Amino acid sequence: MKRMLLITAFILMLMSLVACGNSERGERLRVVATTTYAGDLARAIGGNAVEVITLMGVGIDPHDYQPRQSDTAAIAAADVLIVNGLNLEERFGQVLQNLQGTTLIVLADALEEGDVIYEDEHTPDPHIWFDVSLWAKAAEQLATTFALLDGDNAELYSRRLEAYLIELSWLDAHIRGRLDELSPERRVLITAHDAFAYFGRAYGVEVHAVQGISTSAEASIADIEALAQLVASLEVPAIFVESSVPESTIRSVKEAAESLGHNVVIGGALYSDSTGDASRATETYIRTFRANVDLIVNALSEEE
Amino acid sequence: MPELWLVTNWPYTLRVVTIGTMFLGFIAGFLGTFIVLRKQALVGDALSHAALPGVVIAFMVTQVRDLPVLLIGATIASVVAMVLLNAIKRRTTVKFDAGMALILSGFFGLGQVLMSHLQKTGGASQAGLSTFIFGQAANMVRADVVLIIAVSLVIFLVLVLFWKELKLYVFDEPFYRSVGLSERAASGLLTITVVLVVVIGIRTIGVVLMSALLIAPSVASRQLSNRFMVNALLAGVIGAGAGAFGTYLSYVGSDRASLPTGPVVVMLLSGFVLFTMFFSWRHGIVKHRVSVAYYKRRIIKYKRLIHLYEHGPFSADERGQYSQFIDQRFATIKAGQVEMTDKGKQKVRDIIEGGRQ
Amino acid sequence: MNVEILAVAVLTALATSLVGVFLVLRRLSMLTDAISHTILLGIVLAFMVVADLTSPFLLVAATLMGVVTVFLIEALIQTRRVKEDAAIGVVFTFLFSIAVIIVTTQFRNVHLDIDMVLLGNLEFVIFDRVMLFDRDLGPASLWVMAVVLAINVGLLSVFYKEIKLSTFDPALASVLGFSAVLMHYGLMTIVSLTAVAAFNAVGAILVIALMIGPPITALLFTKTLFHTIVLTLAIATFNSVVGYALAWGLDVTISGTIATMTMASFFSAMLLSPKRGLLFEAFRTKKQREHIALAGLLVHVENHAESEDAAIELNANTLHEHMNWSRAFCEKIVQRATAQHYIRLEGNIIKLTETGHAFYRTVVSDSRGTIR
Repeated sequence: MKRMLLITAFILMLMSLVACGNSERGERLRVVATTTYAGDLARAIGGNAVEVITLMGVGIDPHDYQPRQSDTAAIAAADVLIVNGLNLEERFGQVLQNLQGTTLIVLADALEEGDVIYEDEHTPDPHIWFDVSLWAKAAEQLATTFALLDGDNAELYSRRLEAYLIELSWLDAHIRGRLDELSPERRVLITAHDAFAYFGRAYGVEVHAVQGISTSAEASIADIEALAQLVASLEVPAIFVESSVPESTIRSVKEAAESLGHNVVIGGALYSDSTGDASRATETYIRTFRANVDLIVNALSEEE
Repeated sequence: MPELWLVTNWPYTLRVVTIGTMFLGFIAGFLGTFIVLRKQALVGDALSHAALPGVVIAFMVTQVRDLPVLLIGATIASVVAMVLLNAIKRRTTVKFDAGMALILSGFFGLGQVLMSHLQKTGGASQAGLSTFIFGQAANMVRADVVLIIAVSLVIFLVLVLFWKELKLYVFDEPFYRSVGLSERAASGLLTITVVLVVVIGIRTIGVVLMSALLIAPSVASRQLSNRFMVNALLAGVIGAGAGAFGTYLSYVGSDRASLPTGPVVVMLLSGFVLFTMFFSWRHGIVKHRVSVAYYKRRIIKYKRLIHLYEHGPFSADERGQYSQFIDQRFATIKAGQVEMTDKGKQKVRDIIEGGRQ
Repeated sequence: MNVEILAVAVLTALATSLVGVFLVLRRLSMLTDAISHTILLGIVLAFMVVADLTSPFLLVAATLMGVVTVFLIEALIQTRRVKEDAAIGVVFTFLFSIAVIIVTTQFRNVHLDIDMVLLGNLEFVIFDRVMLFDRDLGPASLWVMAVVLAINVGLLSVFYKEIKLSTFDPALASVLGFSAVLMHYGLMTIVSLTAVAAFNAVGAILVIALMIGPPITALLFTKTLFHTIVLTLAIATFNSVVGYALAWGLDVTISGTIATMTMASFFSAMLLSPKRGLLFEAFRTKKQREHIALAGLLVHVENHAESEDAAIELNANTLHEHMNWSRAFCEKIVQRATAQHYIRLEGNIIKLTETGHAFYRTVVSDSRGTIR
């Protein structure tokens, strides 16, 4: 009899523990984001009211991404799933759109007609975060959805959104201020891959890339020569790579430009599909974008 | 475009890439002759996958994503993969291609495991780790070309120096061992040269062109010659020619849309392989078909004569059927019987032995 | 553990390794690797028509391109001018290059690649579900792989004899009145369909591992085709279950872990297999050495038993010097000989027993036999 009581007490204790864990967790919205940018946005809006798990961690692009069991569990348990959209997440992005019992937020859905850059009628460019005004729209949509799902914290979300929008406007001002240091003919950004079209459109920078968005495409000699001629004729002082490709990818442009009598330096590696990390003080969207712009402007304003 | 038949008018990139693909094409074609003979044709593709764990471990150990560091990791992983492959070959009855598929997938799987582990903690510098070591032909720079030329010359000299031994090893391994030569030395030498060429190849021209340059030239040269030395040199020349000409074509063909260099070279190589398979004067399919048809026709034409050769002589009553051959002096009538002449006998022997006129 | 993921993994392992047996036997092990590249061309060509990255036709075209790939490879092999592996190499680089040229010239800025069409992650298969009238019927890949497995098992059991014959003796197959070439084409079509379906479920690398690993592991142990198939299926199941459990425990990628596990189980088998396993070989060499030493000891004892120096030569304490063995090894051999009653000790002197004499005679006559 005593034993029975003991066992019952033990089971009850266990159950209360489990219940405790649940209720504690249940208060916070469980958010799973695919990219570091989306995850950062969710943290910025949600603050302590949300618990954010980012699937593709720092430095990971969709091609490198190796999902794990914990990712499966996180998605299955999520209240909200945030994806970038516009095919950035490839096939698994499509699969996640059919998820039952989870609210899906597609950041690109916040954009209006004309916001999205189309290469042709079927193919949107997914790198929307490199235009602060578009990112602000995504933030607003996210805050609205959070408030709908979690009415208790609605006020918190709207307060945090306001604060974040101000931060974004500072970021925007910083970007414009820094780019103003460059004379208009210096505002040419040449990179290895085509991830900066939105950046170029928003801030009046001419953007060229060795390679397009498709990872299946290959560089051609004619493209590299054309780019080198452009570099030489505009006397562009620096060209860049994305952090996910080796510097040698763009070195061919540098050498070809030099053969045309123009010296150009490789300005460094830009963050593209993922934010940086805390060790470089670039763990947020805002810090990453600032780091990119500072790198670009510093390199392009170098006197020869 | 300015007059491109003059090399001095070529733009810088075209010159660099042409020289690079030419030298790499030569050494890959030359070395490929050994590889294809040993039924390891897909070693380029296999090693490009097998390198992944080496790359990831190199990054994990050094915490820097420097290209040279990652390439050293890739090289070590490739050598380990080749050693295991040779062990499988030596110790079991498993064929090379099956061993290759196992090593390719097992190593790459291990690389994925390491990457998925790393992704929890790896930080921003792991960006692009899995593709970092792969290059594209058009992105080649001067330093790459210098490396390619140096390595391909050294490897060529070494292969030529040990030519007899290697040839024996490739063609008759039991005999090679029986004359007291070390099997480890030969397989070690081939392993190191293959890994070096493949690693440099995937870094500078990418996996697919590298694979094609290892396979296609030697397949084509096999259609043209049966002598091993000629084969290897010819494969080298085909590789170099396709590399250089394909690079040139990809540039001049870029009038309307820019053509990627690597794939154009591959197309050229594949086309050449098909061409030699069909039209080789030695074993070409066309020649084979034509000679078979010719042989058949002759047999039909001389059916009667062959019959006479094998079963004759016959009574002269049947001379009607042989009048044509009697006119041609292949047969004659002697003592009331149709009989073969010496000329006729010679003719039939020629036909039966095939080929000769 | 997620039962649905495990079920997809096991079904895929069974369906792929079953046809993989024939790939290995026909020396086309790298075929799957080739298909994993060439499906890009199918995707690209389909995209030229439908212009929609999310269209299911892209997957259909990828599957068809797998079939085209095996047909081209098979045709090249049938010319008998190229070996299997070289044929695979020529075809896959060719088709893949066409795809890259089209993408580069036409769709430079379209996010067009294989990952766009094929999921290839076991971690996510449970999120791609079949819904019928609002009823959840389970993961799509589970159904796809179950159907593929059923087709493979069905075709294989109906055409077992024909496939077997055309694999091992194509000439005889032709004599018996069915075309080995036709069988090859049919089998390779099945392989390519299985491969692309499995790419979507578990990813290309694991498919290569599953198609080749279990069959070659099984072939280390078995001689008949039927035994090979049965053992292959058992090994494939073992690999995927253990691999999944490991991946779950370590929280790493499932596909990668199963692929690694497949390689590891092959190498374990290579070390341990009773026929040619490395460990057994080492063990056998040691046994042989001991056996020869034992015979040598008996010969030594017999030769010196009647001689004057018997007391010296056959002294158990100094025997190792006369036999030129290490002390430990000598003691071991003496012990063994004593245990088997070949010798006995009289004081310190070793003497042959009756059994020892008998054994000595067989040893001597054996060696004479070999000399003659």
